[in-house]
This record gives sequence, structure tokens and C-alpha cells, in this order.
Amino acid sequence: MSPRKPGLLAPLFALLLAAGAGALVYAQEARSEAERLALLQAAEGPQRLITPIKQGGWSFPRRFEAKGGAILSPQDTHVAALIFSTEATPPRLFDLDGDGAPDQALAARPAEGGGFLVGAAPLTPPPSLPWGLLCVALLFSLGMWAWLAFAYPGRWAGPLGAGFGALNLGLIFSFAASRALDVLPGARLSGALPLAAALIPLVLYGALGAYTRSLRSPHRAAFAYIAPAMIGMSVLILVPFAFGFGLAFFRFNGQTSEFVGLSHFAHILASSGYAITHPLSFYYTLFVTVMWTALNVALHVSIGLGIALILREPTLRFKGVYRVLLIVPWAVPNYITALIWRGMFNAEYGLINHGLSALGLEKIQWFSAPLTAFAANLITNTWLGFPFMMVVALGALQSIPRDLYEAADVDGADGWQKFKLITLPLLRPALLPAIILGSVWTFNMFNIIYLVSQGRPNNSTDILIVEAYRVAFEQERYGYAAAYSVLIFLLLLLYSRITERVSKAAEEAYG
Amino acid sequence: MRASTLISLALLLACGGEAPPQPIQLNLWHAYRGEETATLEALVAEFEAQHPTLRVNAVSVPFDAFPNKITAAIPRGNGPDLFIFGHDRVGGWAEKRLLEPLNLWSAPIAGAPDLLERFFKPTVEALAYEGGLYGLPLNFKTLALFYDKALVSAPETTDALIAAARALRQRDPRVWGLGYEVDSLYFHAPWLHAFGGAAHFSPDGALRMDLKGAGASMRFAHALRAEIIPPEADSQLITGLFYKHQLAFVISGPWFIAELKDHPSWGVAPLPLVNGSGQTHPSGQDQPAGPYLGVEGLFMSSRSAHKPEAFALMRFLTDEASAKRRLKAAGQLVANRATYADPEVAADPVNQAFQRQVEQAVPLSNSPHMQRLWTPMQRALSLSVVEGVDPTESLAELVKRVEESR
Repeated sequence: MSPRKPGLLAPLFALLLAAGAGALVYAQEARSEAERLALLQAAEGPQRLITPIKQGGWSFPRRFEAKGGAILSPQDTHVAALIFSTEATPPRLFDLDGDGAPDQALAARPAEGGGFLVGAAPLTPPPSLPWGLLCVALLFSLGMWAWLAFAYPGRWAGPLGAGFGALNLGLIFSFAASRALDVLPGARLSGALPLAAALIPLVLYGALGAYTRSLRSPHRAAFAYIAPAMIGMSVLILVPFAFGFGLAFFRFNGQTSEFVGLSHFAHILASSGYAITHPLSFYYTLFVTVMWTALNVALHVSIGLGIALILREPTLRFKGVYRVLLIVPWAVPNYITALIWRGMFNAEYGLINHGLSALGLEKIQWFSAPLTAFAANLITNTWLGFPFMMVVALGALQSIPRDLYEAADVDGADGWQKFKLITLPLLRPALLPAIILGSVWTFNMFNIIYLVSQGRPNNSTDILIVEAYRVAFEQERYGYAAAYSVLIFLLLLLYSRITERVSKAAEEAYG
Repeated sequence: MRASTLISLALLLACGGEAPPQPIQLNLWHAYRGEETATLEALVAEFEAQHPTLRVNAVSVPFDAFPNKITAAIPRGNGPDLFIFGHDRVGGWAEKRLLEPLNLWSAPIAGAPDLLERFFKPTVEALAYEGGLYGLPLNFKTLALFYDKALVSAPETTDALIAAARALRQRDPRVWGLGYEVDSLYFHAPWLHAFGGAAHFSPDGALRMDLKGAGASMRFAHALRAEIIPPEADSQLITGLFYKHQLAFVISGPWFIAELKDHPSWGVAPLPLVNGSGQTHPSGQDQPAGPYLGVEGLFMSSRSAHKPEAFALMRFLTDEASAKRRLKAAGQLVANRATYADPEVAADPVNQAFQRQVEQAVPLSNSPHMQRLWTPMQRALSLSVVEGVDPTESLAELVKRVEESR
């Protein structure tokens, strides 16, 4: 790979193209907003005064009288729909001739002395995004990108390729953003989503530029092979990720989304106004999460490795049977395992307390204290987690040559020395990735916490991901939950950087 | 061979020429399963038979995904014409303009009986939001008191309930008095309302709650919890204990009936009057417990292309004949009042109990802000009812958390 500098033209070109894609979406939004404002003005023209009348003891009006005594008929539902929206909401568009396109806009506002003034204006519907054109542009730029990256030999290939790559991302993001506008009403008014449509591809530019340049390298066939996966990743992971990242800066109050900057992050990092030892504080939850991850992984590895060593004993009989039985906890869906263990931990009727009292011990109220509830979660997840480590260790043990042990025997090494000096170092290359993977899984092990202790007592056993879930789907504070998730992501990013260093160091030491 | 092909082709063409006009297709989404689906489909078939130009496509959508599907599909015009769901999201849906206001559709017509008079009034009011009526009620759900006839009889007051439970527990400490999920606002609501602690939201999302009443209700529930409610009781445990005759009373809703198929001695009664609530009831008696009223509504999409036809189906599904079938075949507690005049229906003690209970029930607020209350309230209840923390403390935290989420 040649360490060529990206040059100045490349980012400029990328900026132009990506901003163009974003501006297209933004212009679309601005236009429909301008038309809406014009409609509000137009609706000041011919107006009808409509008075709602309550009757029969109902809390809502059941008759509507237009000025002059005419009563609205059920066919005037579009007027009714207006009346129940207050003046703050944008005017409604109505399709009066039923051809599927709106052809009349109405606005209502409360009149002095009761009732509503309703006005109407004819409408030329705002054009929708030129989807066909955008698709053609996407295909064209994808083609250009591929051509520049793989075939075109000149010095412009790198910068132009990166530019078209950024354009692709911009277009894909614009598609996603325009869909997101339907999900997040009100976001359109802030103009922030279109802005993000232009900015996020730029942020991704660096990565993409590097990728495109690497395509010029002799290994480009390898890059071609992973290109489908990269495209899949960008659609399935990058776009939702970018959307979630953007969401963290907004607050959605049921009707509109409002830009709040970093205030969600500030609030979370300021412990949400609780003492640090309060279960709803970010730092308390982080502490629980770290303890949860560290203890789990330690138990998984030591139990898994221990069993793997026993299973390797040449004198052991029925090995296959044990191996299958020990993998069973892993094979059972973890929801089911979690629910079974929750039942077993029940204070009054659970199997575990029955066992304790049969042994003459005192029953434990598992979910009444943070420590015992945490222990219950830990036991359940250990049951679920050790088979994986066992399988990894078994595989790695097979690959250690027997003659090393024989040589050690000749030298008079004892069992512990053999384990420490032969088994452990040779297991490390296989175990280290498994440990990193396992710790990331455990860090985000939602099911066990949510189902076994359910955060009892009082959210004190919740880990970060469960807390984020509660904020998002129990309280429907999506922006705040997104900020929480971004923090979780940053923590894991930091962790993976550290482990990368560690495993590199290990490679150097033992490689 | 060739001749027969030609003939059949000619036949096809002939038929094609005389094809009847395309029937209008109505899409109806629901989250029903089992008997409820079968009953709904039978009713829909009957409607189609009465209206040959209409076709109804009843689609079952998973309950968990339902609200998201509605908010995603309707604005884009892919949604149903009609759908059936709980009323608690009406406020949010109305704010998003997903629902057709029915004020005019259901307006009284001279010379005809008023459509809305066929329902229990609270069930209709639950579907109104900010002056608009957004649905017609199909069924209602509320909590009532289930009891084991082998152990106890239905108590009139909470004092009687506690006394009966105490007596049982003295005889056999394995037997518990009362079972319900103590840390859930839905199940705590009967006490909350009896003590005057109801929670509302103003339109701009500020929490309005009488903290004194709420605190008193939590102290009351904590006393119950300490004496007669089994610890860590979730719904499976409660069902299990009730089956083993180790639990005298259960607060639960009509869904519990399905779980009691093999129970030999269960009965159901309205929730008892609450002693010592400090609230005066107009009748001079103690305050009745006030469980939430949940209403299953039939809603029309504001984007439906066939509103008159959709409204005809709404009228049909909520009329007395349909309601009777839904009650008898699917066990739904229908909102149509006239149904309960039927002697067979009226004689059923379950129907009686729930019909009496609905009069005391408090419609669950359909404000879009309600969603912000459940989780903080669960924590407050868990602190004060389960662990006995002073309610002033847990409620102060609740207010702070709810305010934060605005």
C-alpha cells in the first residue's frame, strides 16, 4: 500500500457532492414549508364561522352550525378534522375529488366569541422528491465509483472515487432521511435532518477515501470480495447508526422534535441530578455494568477452561455424552433459560430456596437486595455463558501438540508447571478473541437482566443497555435513549481500542 | 385439445366482458387471536353477505408491533381503513392526525335513535380527546375481585377483606390473602383513586397529581403487602397459588377468566369499598375502589378512501346483535349496553360483576403524556409499597423524573 496523501481536491469534491445531495432534500422541505405558509395566508380569504354545540351530556361537541343556521353533514368531515386541530397545527390538505392527490387546503382558527373560522384555498400539490432521478444518480455514481476504483488508471482516480463514494452515501442517507421524516414529525421544520444528510457522509469521507485508495493497492481483488458486505453494512448498520446518532441531539415531545444540542449528554453525565450512588445515576449503572461484565467473563473462562481440561483427560469415559450435555445450556434459547431461573430464584416457591431450607439454611429473598439480585443474574448468565468458552478452549487444546507435554514430563515438570508454561500460553491466541467477544456480548446482555432480576430492587441491578431500553420504550424518550446508546457505543469503542493494544502486545510477545 | 382450449378461452372472454364492478375493499386490522379472531371473521362474513359490493379484509397484526405499524403505515396511505386497539393511545394518534374524528359521522339524525346511546357512557368518553370523538367502543377491560369460594366469600369493604385474610392466615400461614402486582400502576390504581390521588396530564404535559392522596394510597397498599400479599408475586405465581387454594383474593381483569378454566371454585365480584380513605363518596358510604377502565375501540383512519363504507361496518360491529355474539362466543365484555338486558347474559355472575364494576371505573387517560408515567410510578410503588420507604420521598423523585421527561 502506498501511503499517498489524499490531496486537497478530494475532500472538496466530496463536500460538493454530498452537500448537493443534502441540499436537494433541504430545498424540498423548505419549499413545502413556504407553500404551507402561503396557504395560511390564502385561508384568510373566504371564511365560514362554525360553532360546535355540545348536547346530551357528552364532553365533546356533537353538532356543528355554520353561520346562517346550516348544520354540517357527515360529508363535511374535512371541516370537522380541522376544527379539532388547533390553530398551531399546519393546515390540513384535503382530497375533495378523490383522485388521491390533495386539491384543497383548509385552515381553522378559533374565532372571537366562540366557534371557529374556517377558510379554504385551492392547492397545487408540492411535488414529491424526484425518486426516479435520484435512483439514476445513485446507480450512475455507484458505477462511476466502481470504474474509478477498479479500472481507471490516472491520478484522479483516488479523489474522484472518494467523491463518488461520498455521493453514494449522501444519496442513501437522503433516502433514509426522507423516510425518517414520516416517523419523526416536526423534525422537518428544524432542517437538521437534511443538514445531517449532507454532513454525515462527510464524516464518513475519511474512511471511504482510505478505502478507495486501498483499492488502488495490489490487494484490490480482496477488497472487491468484501465490497458486497461493505454495502450491506452501510445500509443495515451505518444508516441506522447515523440516524440514532443524530437522534441523540433531539427531543421529541409527541408532536415536534426540537434540537437540544448536547444537553442529553450533559444531563446523563451529570448523573441526571442524582447522587452517584443512586441506582438511576449513570455512574452507578456503569459500575454495575462493569462488575457484571468482569465477573461474568472471569467465571465463564475459568469454568469453561476447567471443564475443557477435565474433558481432555484421556482416562475419562463417555466424553461425548458429557460434551453434549454441557453444550445444552448454550443451545437452549436464553429467554427460556432466564425465565426458568427467575422461577427458581423465587423467594417463596423457588427451587433454590426449597433446596436451601432442605439443607437447614435460611431462605434468601433473592430480589430484595441489590447484591443477591445481582448474584442471581450472575448465576444465570454463568450457566448460559460457560459452554461457549468451553467449546473454544476444547478446540484450542486439541491443537497443542502432545509431544510438548511429553518433553515436559521428561524434564520433570509437574502438572501446574505444564499448565502455566505450555497450556496457557498456547491457548492465549484462541482465548483472547473469545474473551473480547464474550465481554462485549455480556456488556450488552439485555435479556438476562431484563428477565431475571428485571432491575429489582428498584433498578439497582440494571445495566446500561437495559436502562437505555427503559428510557426509549417505557418512557418513549427516544432522544435521551439515543444519547445513552451513543455513550454505550463510546465506552465499547474505548474498550475495543484497549483490547486491541493488549492483543497486539500479546501477539508480539508470543507471535 | 386445441378446440377445448379455444372454447375455454372464448368462455373466459365472454365472462370477462360481463364482469361485475370491482367490489370496494375495506381493510380492518386487529390484534386478536383464537376465539376473538374467529368471531370477528364470522361477523365480517355476515356484513359482506349484507353488502355484496363490499369486501372486508380482516388482518391480524401482532399486538407489540401494532402501534408502530399504525403510525408508520397510515401517513403513507398503506394503513387500514379501520382498526381495533386499546384507547390509551388515542391522544397521540389524534395529535398525529391519524384518526378520523367521528363527531359528525355519529351526529344524531332526526327521527333515528342516537348511535352513541347504545354504549356505556364512560366507554365513549374514553375515546374522546380535546373535543374530538375518535372511535366507537367495542369492549372494555377493568379490574375486579376474584375470590376462591372454597376459602372466602365476596367482601363488601377492605376491612372485611383484611379480616377474612387474617383469619385464613392464622389457620394456615401458607395461605395468603390477596394477590396482585403491587408495583404496577395499573393494579395500584383502584387504591390510588379511592384515596383521591389520581394522576392527570395537562395538554402541555405537566403532571397533575394529588400527592397527599397518592401517598396515603401507598401507605395503605404497604400495610396490605406486609400482612396479606405474598412477596414477589407476579402473575404466574398468583395464578399458581390461586389454583392451589393458597390465595383467597386476586385483583385481575377479564383475561384472568381464561386461566381459570380448571379451577373448581372461583367467583368474581366488584372491588370492595375502601375503608379509611378520608374521601367522602356522594352516597355517604366509603369510597369505592377505582380501577382503570380500558376501552378497546374501533377506529377509522383519517386516510381511508372509503369512509362511508367504513362507518357502515363500524355501526354493524358495534350493534346489539354483533355485541351479543362477541360476548357469547369470544367472551368479550362488550360496551353495548343493551346486550346486558338479555336474560341469559344478565344471569351470568361474571357479567354482573364487571358491569357493576365499570360504573366505578376511571377511564385511563388517553393523553400522549401518560406513557411517561408508568416506569417512574413503578419505581415509586416498588420503593414505597414493597420496601416501605416514606411515600413523600418516592413521590418527590417521581415528580422530578416525570418533569424531566417533558
